[in-house]
Amino acid sequence: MKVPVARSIRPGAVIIISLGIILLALSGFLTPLTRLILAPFLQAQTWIAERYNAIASFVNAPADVAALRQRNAQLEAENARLELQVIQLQQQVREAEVLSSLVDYARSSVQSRYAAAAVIGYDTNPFMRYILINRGADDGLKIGMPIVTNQGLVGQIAAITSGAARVRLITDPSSVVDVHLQNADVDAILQGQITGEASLEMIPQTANVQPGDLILTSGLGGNYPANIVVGQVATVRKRDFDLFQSASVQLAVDFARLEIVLVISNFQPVDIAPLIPTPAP
Amino acid sequence: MTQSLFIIAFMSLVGLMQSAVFSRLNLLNGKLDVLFLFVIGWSLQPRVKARWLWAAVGGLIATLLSAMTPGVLLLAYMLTFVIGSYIQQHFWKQPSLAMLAAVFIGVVIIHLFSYVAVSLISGLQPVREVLNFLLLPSLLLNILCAFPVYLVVKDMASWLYPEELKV
Repeated sequence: MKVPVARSIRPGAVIIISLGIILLALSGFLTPLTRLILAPFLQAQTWIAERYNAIASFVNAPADVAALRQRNAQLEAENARLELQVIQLQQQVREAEVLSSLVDYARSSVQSRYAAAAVIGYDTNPFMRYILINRGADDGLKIGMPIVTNQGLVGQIAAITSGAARVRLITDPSSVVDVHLQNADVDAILQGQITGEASLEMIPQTANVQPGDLILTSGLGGNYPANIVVGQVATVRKRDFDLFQSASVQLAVDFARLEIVLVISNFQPVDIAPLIPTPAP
Repeated sequence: MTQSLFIIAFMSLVGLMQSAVFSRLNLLNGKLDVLFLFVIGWSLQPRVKARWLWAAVGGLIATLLSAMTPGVLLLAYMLTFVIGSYIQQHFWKQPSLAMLAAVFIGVVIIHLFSYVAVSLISGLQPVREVLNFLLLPSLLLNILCAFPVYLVVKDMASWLYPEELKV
């Protein structure tokens, strides 16, 4: 049986044509043609896919909402944790700033040795101006040691336990500090007030005291070291019939915002009680 | 025994909170005294048997936390407790009114005792300043917080001392 010639060369022709089309497609000559042909198909497929996705999301919505809620809760928890971290870091930065300023202060007066302490409590009675600090006898602190900040004088240790100390602020009514008015070059007494302020007493009538004059500790009496900043004179009261002038004081330290203080640990207060003459019997 | 230990532990915790937190919340120079409010709150719980223990523990803790002359605050707290109980038993059965009256009288007593003690130690203090900057702000603060503390004490009382059923 004879095979016709046309039928015998057909497969070869198909292969050649196919190869030609493939080569044309690979070389990019058929791109406009394929774009033209495929465009309606792609549009149709896109339309179908969008509708499918819409239906699928509608059908699967509860699961997605639950997953989203869970994710939202996770993110909220993460957000809260990060916010807390930010607050803690801000707190650490603030503490670092306070400590840095205290270190600067300690470096500026090298003759004194300092021990830093945190303020852990305030006196519960409104008549008393005392604070509690977290250092005590175990840290080498003793009653009478002065307390300062980089701003100025805070007070003196009044009572002590092994791990804590009670500090009498200079604003306490029972607190008396011998001070020196730098500009007027006179000594006076700083007396605490019941209102949480302090006033200058026993200023000689002849002294020329002006508002803004700097007040430093004088070191007299042996209770505090000399030349610690206390504050500034705010207003002066001078009456001709008084023996002394008095003045209100703008204290250097903000006692409502005390957080960290320095204890001057190498200062020993002098007990001058035996030197005070007693009346003979 | 367990209740007594709980009282000591709870009042110690309140004392710590008072010293570390509430003492910083000032109105002028007046202070909120939560320990005192708890003592007053317990004085108004008639079915609680060892009410005086709350006042004693509160007074001791206040004495420890304050530089005030030892005994002054304990005495003031105990007196306040007695007055609170008396008010509740004889004047106002309504606890809210009794609480207000007891807080008012108690704050005045504590400030009066403190004023006398401070004046004896540091010299006579100006009465007007004490009234304007200490007593009145303290009164306002403590009266504002009296009701919340009373509600806490009331809940604690029913939890610690459950009412006995009469058969």
